[in-house]
Amino acid sequence: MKKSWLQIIASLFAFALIAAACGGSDSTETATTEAEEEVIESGTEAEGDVDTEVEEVAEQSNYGGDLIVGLEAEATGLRPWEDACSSPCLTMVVAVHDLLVQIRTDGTIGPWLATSWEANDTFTEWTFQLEEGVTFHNGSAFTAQTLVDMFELQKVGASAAGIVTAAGLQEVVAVDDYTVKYVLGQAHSAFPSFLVQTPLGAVFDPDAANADFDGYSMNPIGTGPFMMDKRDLDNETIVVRNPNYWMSDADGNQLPYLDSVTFRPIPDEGTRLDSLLSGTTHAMQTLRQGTIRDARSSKADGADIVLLEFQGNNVGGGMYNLNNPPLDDVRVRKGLTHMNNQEAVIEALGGTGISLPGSQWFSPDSPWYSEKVAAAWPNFDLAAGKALIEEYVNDPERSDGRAVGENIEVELSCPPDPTLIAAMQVIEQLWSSSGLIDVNMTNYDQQTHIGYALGAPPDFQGSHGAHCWRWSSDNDPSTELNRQMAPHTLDVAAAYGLDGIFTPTNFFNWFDIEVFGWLVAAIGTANFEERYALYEMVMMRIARDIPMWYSGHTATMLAIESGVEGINGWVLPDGTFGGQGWAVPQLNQAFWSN
Amino acid sequence: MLGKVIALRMVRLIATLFAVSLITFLMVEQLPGDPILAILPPEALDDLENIERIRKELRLDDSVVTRYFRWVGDALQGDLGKSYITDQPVSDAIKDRIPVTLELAFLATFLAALLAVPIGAFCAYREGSRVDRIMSGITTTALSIPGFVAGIFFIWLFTLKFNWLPSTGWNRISDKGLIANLKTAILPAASLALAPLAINARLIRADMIGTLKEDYVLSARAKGLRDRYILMRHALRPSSLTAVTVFALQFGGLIGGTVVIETIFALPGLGTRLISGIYQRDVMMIQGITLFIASVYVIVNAAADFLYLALDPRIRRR
Repeated sequence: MKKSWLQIIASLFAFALIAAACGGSDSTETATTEAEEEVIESGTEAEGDVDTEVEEVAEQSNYGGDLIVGLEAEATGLRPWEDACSSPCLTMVVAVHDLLVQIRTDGTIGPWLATSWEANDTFTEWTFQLEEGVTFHNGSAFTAQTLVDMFELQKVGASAAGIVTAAGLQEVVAVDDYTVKYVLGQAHSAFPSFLVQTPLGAVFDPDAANADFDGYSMNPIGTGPFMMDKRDLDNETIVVRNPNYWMSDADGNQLPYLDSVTFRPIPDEGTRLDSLLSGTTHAMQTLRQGTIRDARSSKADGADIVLLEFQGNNVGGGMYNLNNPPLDDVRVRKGLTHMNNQEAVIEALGGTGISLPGSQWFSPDSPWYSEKVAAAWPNFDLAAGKALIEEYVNDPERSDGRAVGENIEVELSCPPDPTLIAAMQVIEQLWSSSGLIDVNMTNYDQQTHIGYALGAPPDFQGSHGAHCWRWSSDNDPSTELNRQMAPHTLDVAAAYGLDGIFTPTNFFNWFDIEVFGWLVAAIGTANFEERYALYEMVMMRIARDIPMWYSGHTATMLAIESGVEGINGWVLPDGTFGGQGWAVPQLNQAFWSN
Repeated sequence: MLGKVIALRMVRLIATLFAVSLITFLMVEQLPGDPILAILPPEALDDLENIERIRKELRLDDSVVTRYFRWVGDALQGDLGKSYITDQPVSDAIKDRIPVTLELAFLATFLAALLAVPIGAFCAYREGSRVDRIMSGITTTALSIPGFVAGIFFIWLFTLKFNWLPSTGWNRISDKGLIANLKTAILPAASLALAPLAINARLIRADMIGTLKEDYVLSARAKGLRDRYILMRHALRPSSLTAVTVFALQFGGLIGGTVVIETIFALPGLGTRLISGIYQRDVMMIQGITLFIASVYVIVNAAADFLYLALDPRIRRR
């Protein structure tokens, strides 16, 4: 594979780290006018879909072979209930563990180890039928009691406990061997969405976990398609075919097809791609637009690879902290967002032609996407932005305590990734060009960046200003929105009679009781149209009161050597296509076609 | 006399190690943010009781002084604590990874010495010649190239262009044998070796130029001894004193210097673990590995001092 010198030099600068961060903001009550744009019917498909089309696997499947996958990082740990897992880690977790349910490509929830389910009328009890005859890698049986025993660990698990709280899950009851009931403390019409998340939904052997709590991470016992063979941390993790796997393909052939999968953490983006191009690995994942661009370029130069690209609901950009004047004033927030040249920012991020511009938490091909919200969001309009900031600057009652006419000061912070810094510089230039804003740019490592927005327990009042961030996922909107829009302090909760309801992840430090009400209503009904309307109202309010500056939707890519099939077009037991994008590839149906 | 010198150096060594432990602890302590925030995903922070439970479990409520002395006390017994993130004992993490880092450092030092000694000696012997000038230019260039740049270049050349060697991964000798191991070790080691090679070649050259002008060398030449014999027997040995010290110092530095190279080549060494620890804000892991690397550096330096004492009787008499 040829690589130009320019690429080599560029790649020198490409070993910065991890994922872009993202943001949220704050707000207060405001009185700005909503944009009066044309309202397009909900669910209209937007233009510009850049996803790889999901297609039925056409090639004849084969048994055998090893697949070497280059991951962004080593897994934090493989204990689903305990370890905070991001996509590389999740890729390994789901190779060994099955989930109870899976997300389909259309965003709905489909069967996996749970074959069917139903809720009571008030959505407080969810009863699941389980697949029979499934065994763990150590031979023990998977039954309803397994889920009951798992819950004992999950409710105190570092990773699962928060999800248990968010879901309002109080009890797990074994109705019979293959029927389990999840009892909630509050109605939740989208409860199965929580079971898509590995901390609550990944099935592990509770006896093995209790027998060796720490050691489980090195030797996880699930029901998944692959069993742990060798775990050499930071080097390679090898999983081998589970000969007793419960799932078969449409022709009745037992899955999985591959003999083994080797996961190799390769943190450097350039080296990971080079490893694929040189044949050191067979597949790689990335969330970096720059790497996607390089992979596309390599393919155009003749590399024999297949690129599976996907962007779900995750969207990047930045948020404002309402605790920090002048960001407590909606004119400033909206003005700053108006001054975000989205196209230039995406270009600086290397995402032109790769990432779709964002205007809300949902991407244009999501069932939750709203054209009405897209129209209401403050688009790039430098003059309008400047006018709003000017109005604030000349307001004798301005909230930052400065003299009339004095510039506002804004801290703009992103993690120290080269592309993020380039994007920051674009925004800084735009804001500074108004002559009204003194921009103070800061960069902290990812962990500090997140901690800065979180603040310290027990109050969790972040001290950030304008802060790069990412929002949303392909999962049900309730899993993120209901949490992030809850009261940001116990005092705020008490003021609205919501004693004890509090979240540290309301990074905006903004609470709107109406929005909270809509969100609660949205999990009290299973009717999609009603839910859609409620989430659209929430997004409209966000666009009005706490308009984040969005860049683009997060693109993810899985690049694979030609000849590896079954990753695009994997199916659920009911024959429908599975989703979740390529950040967490499902390998239980992958095979070598030659 | 020698005993007193060694005792004094030992006291100095212990004091340095104590200072290293204190500075390491305090530096990590100063990192912004609550370790709890790194342990729990943001969505798990809703549960304040869970936060308090974990804080108590990890004894993060104790004062800084208490935690420092507990950590040092445990460290003296070989227990560097447990990772907050993965629950893995830090000493196990070091034990698993040190063979990789040590092998890289040894291999890099070996490669550097293997080439630096003949290059330095030859250039000294042919001082001012065209070869000397060319080698001088090459070593200056090698010095100015950071190891990671060399690493990326090597990957391009030997992996993408010629497909001779794998770009990433590590074959353990115990699993796959020495040859397979060397295939994965040679590129990172060569990247690491570049700077020490250049430094030492220049150092040996400069030292030997001086030595070759000594009377006893002239006398050896007058006796008609062969050039190679004079170079190896009469010139290299006295000139090697400086080189030994510098190699020792560089070896300590290489242990820390592997951090970036291990990341580029995705090797399971100490550096990769340290970088992961930093990004995950894994306090115990950062403290433990930093202390270990710093201690190795200090001990290797002390060993170089002792070697110096053994090689040069004049130092013992001071």
